[in-house]
Amino acid sequence: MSKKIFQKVGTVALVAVMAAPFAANAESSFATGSGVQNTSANVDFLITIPRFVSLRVGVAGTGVDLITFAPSGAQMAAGSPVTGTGGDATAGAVNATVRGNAGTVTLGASTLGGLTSGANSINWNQITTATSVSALTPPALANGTSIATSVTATNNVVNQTAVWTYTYTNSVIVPPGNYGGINTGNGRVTYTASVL
Amino acid sequence: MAAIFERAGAATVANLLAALLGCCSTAQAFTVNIAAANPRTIFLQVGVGSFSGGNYNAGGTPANNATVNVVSVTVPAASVGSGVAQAMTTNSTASQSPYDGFVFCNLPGQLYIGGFYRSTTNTGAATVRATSPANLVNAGGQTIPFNQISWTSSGNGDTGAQPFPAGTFVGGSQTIGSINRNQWAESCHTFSYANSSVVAAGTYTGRVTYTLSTP
Repeated sequence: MSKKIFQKVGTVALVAVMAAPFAANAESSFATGSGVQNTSANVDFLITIPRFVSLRVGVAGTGVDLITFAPSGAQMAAGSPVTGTGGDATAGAVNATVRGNAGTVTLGASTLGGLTSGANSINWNQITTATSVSALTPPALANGTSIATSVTATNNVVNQTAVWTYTYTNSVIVPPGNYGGINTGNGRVTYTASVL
Repeated sequence: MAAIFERAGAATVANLLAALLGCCSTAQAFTVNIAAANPRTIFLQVGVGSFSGGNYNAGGTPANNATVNVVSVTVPAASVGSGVAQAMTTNSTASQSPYDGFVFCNLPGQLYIGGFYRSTTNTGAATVRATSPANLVNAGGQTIPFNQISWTSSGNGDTGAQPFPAGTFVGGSQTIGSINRNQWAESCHTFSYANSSVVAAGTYTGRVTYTLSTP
């Protein structure tokens, strides 16, 4: 729709005549007089940012990654470290992101106990985690609750991303079998991120 | 004295004239000529404002109004720093133009900005400038740069370039638009927060001062 083009007839009463320059300041305001005129109006802006902390380990969303170690007989004999497969980064690795805006983030990890295969088990300390970013150091895995790590905030903000690569150290000889699994055999690690 | 044409009527008459003349569309943003008068007078309204004795086209006279409106947004926790711009709203109740009462802005998403410059002295246009601080600040001293706030410009029924067009605050002084001598001009601004980075929790505030100045 178009608008009006011309117009206005009539007299508007003028409230004051003052020497220039005249300045007013309000949210509607006027100024009148000879010479340069200035008038101002203010607007306040407000942005509310809530507290939050978020954690991603592996694929984004609700999916749970599976890291698998399948040492060969030779590796078992040699007791040499074994790289994994699976994960959403390189083989045997996951993308990890911690974000928050309420100060330093505490990063925890827990398991239900050693990985089991029937009556046999592998201690979680046989699986190490290397990080690509030292500022985002994962807790060392353990049977039960790990010792937490901290992600330091700058101006109360944490925003760190790293790749965590898992390795089976293979330093203990164990009976053959499938240890752990998809949420079975104590095969799941639960990571937590928290702020005070 | 009342205006010669009401807003809708003006459009109708103008369009009829345009059609009869086989001319171009008359659609445009809302700027309207007003009668020259002395002494030189300027009026600026951002958000709510006051007029005495009716709208301008009904002989009303400009008045001061000290109410400072707030443009705000609460970012959902899951969206903080996502890079998805967040629409801001205003507590302004000014949807109608003080020129003629036309419902020009849509609340709560839009903030009215308008005014006039009237003078019998042949000068150039009056300029509207906005002065913003570098940052919005929360109680902990953390900051959000003011250039994270932008606006689009429109008005109900408008199709042409706005007198106070879209922009982004610069964290300093900047030109918002201009009003020609003996003209009323107005726009509705829709603000948004760019939300381009994770910032500390808190309530961030900052004040922008709009100034209308004659040459």
